[in-house]
Amino acid sequence: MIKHVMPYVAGSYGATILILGGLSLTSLLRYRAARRRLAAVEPRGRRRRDAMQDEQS
Amino acid sequence: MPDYTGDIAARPIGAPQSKAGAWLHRFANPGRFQRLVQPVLPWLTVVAFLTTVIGLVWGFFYAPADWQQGIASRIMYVHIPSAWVAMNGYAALAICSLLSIVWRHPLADIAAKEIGPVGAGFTALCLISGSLWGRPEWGTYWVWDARLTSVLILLFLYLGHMALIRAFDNPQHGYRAAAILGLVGAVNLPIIVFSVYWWNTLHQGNSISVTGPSKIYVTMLYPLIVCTIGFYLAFAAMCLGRISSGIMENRARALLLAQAERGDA
Repeated sequence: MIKHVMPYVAGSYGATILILGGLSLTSLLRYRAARRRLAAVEPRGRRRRDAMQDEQS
Repeated sequence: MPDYTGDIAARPIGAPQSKAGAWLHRFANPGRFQRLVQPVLPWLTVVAFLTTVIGLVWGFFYAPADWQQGIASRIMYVHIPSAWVAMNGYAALAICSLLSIVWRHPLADIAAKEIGPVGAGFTALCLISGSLWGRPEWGTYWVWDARLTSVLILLFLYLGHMALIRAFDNPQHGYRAAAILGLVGAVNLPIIVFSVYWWNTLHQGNSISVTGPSKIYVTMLYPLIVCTIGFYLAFAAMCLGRISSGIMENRARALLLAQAERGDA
Protein backbone atom coordinates (compact mmCIF):
# COMPACT_ATOMS: atom_id res chain seq x y z
CA MET A 1 0.00 0.00 0.00
CA ILE A 2 2.79 2.39 0.98
CA LYS A 3 4.77 1.63 -2.19
CA HIS A 4 1.63 1.98 -4.30
CA VAL A 5 0.66 5.40 -2.92
CA MET A 6 4.10 6.95 -2.35
CA PRO A 7 4.61 8.18 -5.95
CA TYR A 8 1.39 10.22 -5.69
CA VAL A 9 2.40 11.72 -2.34
CA ALA A 10 5.91 12.47 -3.58
CA GLY A 11 4.44 13.89 -6.80
CA SER A 12 2.20 16.33 -4.94
CA TYR A 13 5.11 17.55 -2.78
CA GLY A 14 7.28 17.79 -5.89
CA ALA A 15 4.60 19.89 -7.61
CA THR A 16 4.52 22.13 -4.54
CA ILE A 17 8.27 22.68 -4.66
CA LEU A 18 8.17 23.33 -8.41
CA ILE A 19 5.21 25.74 -8.40
CA LEU A 20 6.02 27.67 -5.20
CA GLY A 21 9.74 27.64 -6.00
CA GLY A 22 9.10 28.83 -9.54
CA LEU A 23 6.76 31.62 -8.43
CA SER A 24 9.19 32.72 -5.69
CA LEU A 25 12.18 32.67 -8.04
CA THR A 26 10.45 34.66 -10.79
CA SER A 27 9.16 37.17 -8.21
CA LEU A 28 12.65 37.57 -6.71
CA LEU A 29 14.40 37.93 -10.08
CA ARG A 30 11.82 40.48 -11.26
CA TYR A 31 12.16 42.45 -8.01
CA ARG A 32 15.93 42.60 -8.33
CA ALA A 33 15.75 43.56 -12.01
CA ALA A 34 13.21 46.32 -11.25
CA ARG A 35 15.42 47.68 -8.47
CA ARG A 36 18.48 47.68 -10.73
CA ARG A 37 16.59 49.36 -13.57
CA LEU A 38 15.16 52.04 -11.30
CA ALA A 39 18.53 52.66 -9.68
CA ALA A 40 20.01 53.19 -13.15
CA VAL A 41 17.31 55.66 -14.21
CA GLU A 42 16.35 57.47 -11.01
CA PRO A 43 19.50 59.51 -10.28
CA ARG A 44 19.37 61.07 -13.75
CA GLY A 45 15.68 61.79 -13.31
CA ARG A 46 16.28 63.36 -9.94
CA ARG A 47 19.09 65.54 -11.26
CA ARG A 48 16.92 66.79 -14.11
CA ARG A 49 13.96 67.43 -11.84
CA ASP A 50 16.22 69.43 -9.54
CA ALA A 51 17.53 71.34 -12.55
CA MET A 52 13.97 72.11 -13.69
CA GLN A 53 13.09 73.39 -10.24
CA ASP A 54 16.20 75.57 -10.26
CA GLU A 55 15.19 77.00 -13.65
CA GLN A 56 11.69 77.76 -12.39
CA SER A 57 13.00 79.45 -9.28
CA MET B 1 6.66 65.86 -14.87
CA PRO B 2 4.58 62.71 -14.53
CA ASP B 3 4.33 61.01 -11.20
CA TYR B 4 6.47 57.89 -10.86
CA THR B 5 3.42 55.66 -10.96
CA GLY B 6 3.62 56.11 -14.73
CA ASP B 7 0.59 55.58 -16.93
CA ILE B 8 -1.54 54.81 -13.90
CA ALA B 9 -0.96 58.30 -12.56
CA ALA B 10 -2.73 59.72 -15.60
CA ARG B 11 -6.04 58.40 -14.28
CA PRO B 12 -8.42 60.88 -12.72
CA ILE B 13 -8.48 60.03 -9.05
CA GLY B 14 -11.56 61.47 -7.40
CA ALA B 15 -11.49 63.18 -4.06
CA PRO B 16 -12.35 60.89 -1.15
CA GLN B 17 -15.99 61.08 -0.13
CA SER B 18 -15.80 59.52 3.34
CA LYS B 19 -13.42 58.73 6.19
CA ALA B 20 -12.94 55.22 4.80
CA GLY B 21 -12.27 56.69 1.37
CA ALA B 22 -9.74 59.13 2.82
CA TRP B 23 -7.99 56.32 4.70
CA LEU B 24 -7.85 54.17 1.56
CA HIS B 25 -6.57 57.06 -0.54
CA ARG B 26 -3.83 57.66 2.01
CA PHE B 27 -2.61 54.06 1.70
CA ALA B 28 -3.13 53.96 -2.06
CA ASN B 29 -0.04 56.09 -2.45
CA PRO B 30 2.61 53.88 -4.14
CA GLY B 31 5.45 55.81 -2.46
CA ARG B 32 3.98 55.17 0.99
CA PHE B 33 3.41 51.53 0.05
CA GLN B 34 7.07 51.17 -0.90
CA ARG B 35 8.24 52.79 2.32
CA LEU B 36 6.06 50.39 4.34
CA VAL B 37 6.73 47.21 2.39
CA GLN B 38 10.39 47.33 1.38
CA PRO B 39 11.85 47.01 4.91
CA VAL B 40 9.38 44.23 5.80
CA LEU B 41 9.69 42.17 2.60
CA PRO B 42 13.05 40.41 3.26
CA TRP B 43 11.92 39.34 6.73
CA LEU B 44 8.53 38.22 5.49
CA THR B 45 10.20 36.15 2.76
CA VAL B 46 12.53 34.42 5.23
CA VAL B 47 9.71 33.67 7.71
CA ALA B 48 7.44 32.42 4.89
CA PHE B 49 10.18 30.15 3.54
CA LEU B 50 11.04 28.67 6.95
CA THR B 51 7.39 28.15 7.95
CA THR B 52 6.55 26.46 4.64
CA VAL B 53 9.59 24.18 4.80
CA ILE B 54 8.87 23.20 8.42
CA GLY B 55 5.21 22.52 7.57
CA LEU B 56 6.04 20.42 4.48
CA VAL B 57 8.76 18.39 6.25
CA TRP B 58 6.46 17.83 9.22
CA GLY B 59 3.60 16.77 6.95
CA PHE B 60 5.68 14.51 4.69
CA PHE B 61 7.92 12.77 7.24
CA TYR B 62 6.40 13.05 10.71
CA ALA B 63 2.60 13.38 10.46
CA PRO B 64 0.78 10.12 11.19
CA ALA B 65 -0.92 8.22 8.37
CA ASP B 66 -4.71 8.20 8.34
CA TRP B 67 -6.29 4.92 9.43
CA GLN B 68 -8.43 4.76 6.27
CA GLN B 69 -6.38 6.59 3.62
CA GLY B 70 -2.93 5.57 4.78
CA ILE B 71 -0.08 7.85 3.71
CA ALA B 72 -2.19 9.37 0.91
CA SER B 73 -3.56 11.65 3.63
CA ARG B 74 -0.19 13.45 3.60
CA ILE B 75 -1.24 15.10 0.35
CA MET B 76 -3.71 17.02 2.51
CA TYR B 77 -0.87 19.23 3.87
CA VAL B 78 -0.37 20.58 0.38
CA HIS B 79 -3.87 20.38 -1.02
CA ILE B 80 -5.92 22.12 1.70
CA PRO B 81 -3.63 25.14 2.27
CA SER B 82 -3.30 25.71 -1.48
CA ALA B 83 -7.10 25.57 -1.84
CA TRP B 84 -7.59 28.13 0.95
CA VAL B 85 -4.94 30.45 -0.43
CA ALA B 86 -6.38 30.13 -3.95
CA MET B 87 -9.86 31.13 -2.76
CA ASN B 88 -8.76 33.92 -0.42
CA GLY B 89 -6.34 35.15 -3.07
CA TYR B 90 -9.26 35.54 -5.43
CA ALA B 91 -11.22 37.32 -2.67
CA ALA B 92 -8.28 39.77 -2.38
CA LEU B 93 -8.30 40.21 -6.16
CA ALA B 94 -12.05 40.91 -6.07
CA ILE B 95 -11.55 43.53 -3.31
CA CYS B 96 -8.82 45.19 -5.40
CA SER B 97 -11.21 45.15 -8.38
CA LEU B 98 -13.89 46.85 -6.26
CA LEU B 99 -11.42 49.49 -5.08
CA SER B 100 -10.35 50.01 -8.67
CA ILE B 101 -13.90 50.45 -9.97
CA VAL B 102 -15.27 52.55 -7.09
CA TRP B 103 -12.28 54.68 -6.00
CA ARG B 104 -9.92 54.21 -8.96
CA HIS B 105 -6.98 53.47 -6.73
CA PRO B 106 -3.78 53.17 -8.77
CA LEU B 107 -2.36 50.67 -6.30
CA ALA B 108 -5.48 48.46 -6.53
CA ASP B 109 -4.89 47.96 -10.26
CA ILE B 110 -1.26 46.96 -9.73
CA ALA B 111 -2.25 44.67 -6.83
CA ALA B 112 -4.97 42.93 -8.88
CA LYS B 113 -2.52 42.46 -11.77
CA GLU B 114 0.12 40.91 -9.51
CA ILE B 115 -2.20 38.73 -7.40
CA GLY B 116 -3.47 36.97 -10.56
CA PRO B 117 -0.41 34.86 -11.48
CA VAL B 118 0.33 33.93 -7.85
CA GLY B 119 -3.30 32.92 -7.22
CA ALA B 120 -3.34 30.92 -10.45
CA GLY B 121 -0.22 29.06 -9.28
CA PHE B 122 -1.84 28.10 -5.97
CA THR B 123 -5.06 27.05 -7.75
CA ALA B 124 -3.07 24.88 -10.16
CA LEU B 125 -1.28 23.32 -7.17
CA CYS B 126 -4.64 22.62 -5.51
CA LEU B 127 -5.94 20.88 -8.64
CA ILE B 128 -2.74 18.89 -9.25
CA SER B 129 -2.45 17.70 -5.63
CA GLY B 130 -6.18 16.88 -5.58
CA SER B 131 -5.81 14.79 -8.75
CA LEU B 132 -2.80 12.98 -7.29
CA TRP B 133 -4.85 12.22 -4.18
CA GLY B 134 -7.88 11.14 -6.25
CA ARG B 135 -6.03 8.50 -8.27
CA PRO B 136 -5.24 6.15 -5.36
CA GLU B 137 -8.37 7.04 -3.34
CA TRP B 138 -11.10 7.38 -5.97
CA GLY B 139 -9.45 5.40 -8.74
CA THR B 140 -9.37 8.39 -11.10
CA TYR B 141 -7.45 11.63 -11.52
CA TRP B 142 -10.53 13.65 -12.35
CA VAL B 143 -14.33 13.61 -12.02
CA TRP B 144 -16.71 16.39 -13.07
CA ASP B 145 -17.71 16.84 -9.45
CA ALA B 146 -19.16 20.21 -8.36
CA ARG B 147 -16.21 21.07 -6.09
CA LEU B 148 -13.56 20.10 -8.62
CA THR B 149 -15.34 21.83 -11.48
CA SER B 150 -15.87 25.05 -9.53
CA VAL B 151 -12.15 25.14 -8.59
CA LEU B 152 -11.26 24.57 -12.26
CA ILE B 153 -13.49 27.57 -13.08
CA LEU B 154 -11.52 29.53 -10.45
CA LEU B 155 -8.32 28.71 -12.35
CA PHE B 156 -9.94 29.89 -15.61
CA LEU B 157 -11.05 33.10 -13.88
CA TYR B 158 -7.48 33.77 -12.75
CA LEU B 159 -6.13 33.02 -16.24
CA GLY B 160 -8.86 35.14 -17.87
CA HIS B 161 -8.05 38.03 -15.54
CA MET B 162 -4.35 37.76 -16.39
CA ALA B 163 -5.10 37.69 -20.13
CA LEU B 164 -7.67 40.51 -20.04
CA ILE B 165 -5.49 42.93 -18.06
CA ARG B 166 -2.79 42.62 -20.76
CA ALA B 167 -5.11 42.50 -23.77
CA PHE B 168 -5.51 46.23 -24.48
CA ASP B 169 -3.11 48.78 -25.95
CA ASN B 170 -4.38 51.27 -23.40
CA PRO B 171 -3.57 49.78 -19.96
CA GLN B 172 -6.52 51.65 -18.38
CA HIS B 173 -8.97 49.71 -20.55
CA GLY B 174 -7.31 46.47 -19.49
CA TYR B 175 -7.48 47.39 -15.81
CA ARG B 176 -11.15 48.33 -16.10
CA ALA B 177 -12.20 45.18 -18.02
CA ALA B 178 -10.20 42.92 -15.69
CA ALA B 179 -11.68 44.63 -12.62
CA ILE B 180 -15.20 43.85 -13.87
CA LEU B 181 -14.23 40.21 -14.47
CA GLY B 182 -12.56 40.04 -11.06
CA LEU B 183 -15.67 41.33 -9.34
CA VAL B 184 -18.13 39.15 -11.26
CA GLY B 185 -15.93 36.08 -10.76
CA ALA B 186 -16.26 36.43 -6.98
CA VAL B 187 -19.68 34.76 -7.37
CA ASN B 188 -17.73 31.52 -7.82
CA LEU B 189 -16.27 31.65 -4.28
CA PRO B 190 -19.44 30.74 -2.32
CA ILE B 191 -20.20 28.13 -4.99
CA ILE B 192 -16.82 26.48 -4.25
CA VAL B 193 -17.37 26.60 -0.49
CA PHE B 194 -20.96 25.32 -0.47
CA SER B 195 -20.73 22.98 -3.49
CA VAL B 196 -20.22 19.98 -1.22
CA TYR B 197 -23.52 20.78 0.54
CA TRP B 198 -25.62 21.94 -2.43
CA TRP B 199 -24.85 18.92 -4.63
CA ASN B 200 -24.07 15.25 -4.08
CA THR B 201 -20.33 15.34 -4.61
CA LEU B 202 -17.57 12.78 -4.50
CA HIS B 203 -15.44 15.39 -2.73
CA GLN B 204 -15.73 15.13 1.03
CA GLY B 205 -17.24 17.85 3.22
CA ASN B 206 -15.25 20.18 5.44
CA SER B 207 -13.17 18.44 8.12
CA ILE B 208 -12.00 21.64 9.78
CA SER B 209 -14.26 24.20 11.38
CA VAL B 210 -13.38 27.58 12.85
CA THR B 211 -16.59 27.82 14.91
CA GLY B 212 -17.00 24.18 16.02
CA PRO B 213 -14.81 21.18 16.78
CA SER B 214 -12.71 19.86 13.87
CA LYS B 215 -12.98 16.26 12.69
CA ILE B 216 -9.23 15.98 12.42
CA TYR B 217 -6.93 14.85 15.24
CA VAL B 218 -4.38 17.32 16.64
CA THR B 219 -1.32 15.35 15.46
CA MET B 220 -2.56 15.94 11.92
CA LEU B 221 -4.05 19.35 12.57
CA TYR B 222 -0.83 21.02 13.80
CA PRO B 223 1.27 20.36 10.66
CA LEU B 224 -1.73 21.43 8.60
CA ILE B 225 -1.90 24.74 10.50
CA VAL B 226 1.86 25.30 10.04
CA CYS B 227 1.59 24.56 6.29
CA THR B 228 -1.40 26.89 6.02
CA ILE B 229 0.44 29.75 7.76
CA GLY B 230 3.49 29.11 5.56
CA PHE B 231 1.43 29.14 2.36
CA TYR B 232 -0.37 32.37 3.36
CA LEU B 233 2.93 34.05 4.23
CA ALA B 234 4.46 32.85 0.95
CA PHE B 235 1.47 34.21 -0.96
CA ALA B 236 1.75 37.55 0.86
CA ALA B 237 5.51 37.78 0.27
CA MET B 238 5.19 36.95 -3.43
CA CYS B 239 2.31 39.38 -3.97
CA LEU B 240 3.96 42.25 -2.06
CA GLY B 241 7.24 41.64 -3.90
CA ARG B 242 5.51 41.64 -7.27
CA ILE B 243 3.47 44.76 -6.45
CA SER B 244 6.65 46.50 -5.35
CA SER B 245 8.34 45.42 -8.60
CA GLY B 246 5.37 46.72 -10.60
CA ILE B 247 5.60 50.13 -8.90
CA MET B 248 9.34 50.34 -9.53
CA GLU B 249 8.89 49.34 -13.19
CA ASN B 250 6.21 52.01 -13.66
CA ARG B 251 8.41 54.59 -12.00
CA ALA B 252 11.41 53.73 -14.20
CA ARG B 253 9.18 53.84 -17.30
CA ALA B 254 7.75 57.22 -16.32
CA LEU B 255 11.21 58.67 -15.71
CA LEU B 256 12.47 57.39 -19.08
CA LEU B 257 9.37 58.80 -20.83
CA ALA B 258 9.89 62.16 -19.16
CA GLN B 259 13.49 62.19 -20.35
CA ALA B 260 12.44 61.21 -23.87
CA GLU B 261 9.81 63.98 -23.96
CA ARG B 262 12.50 66.51 -23.19
CA GLY B 263 14.67 64.94 -25.90
CA ASP B 264 17.66 64.46 -23.66
CA ALA B 265 17.38 60.72 -22.91
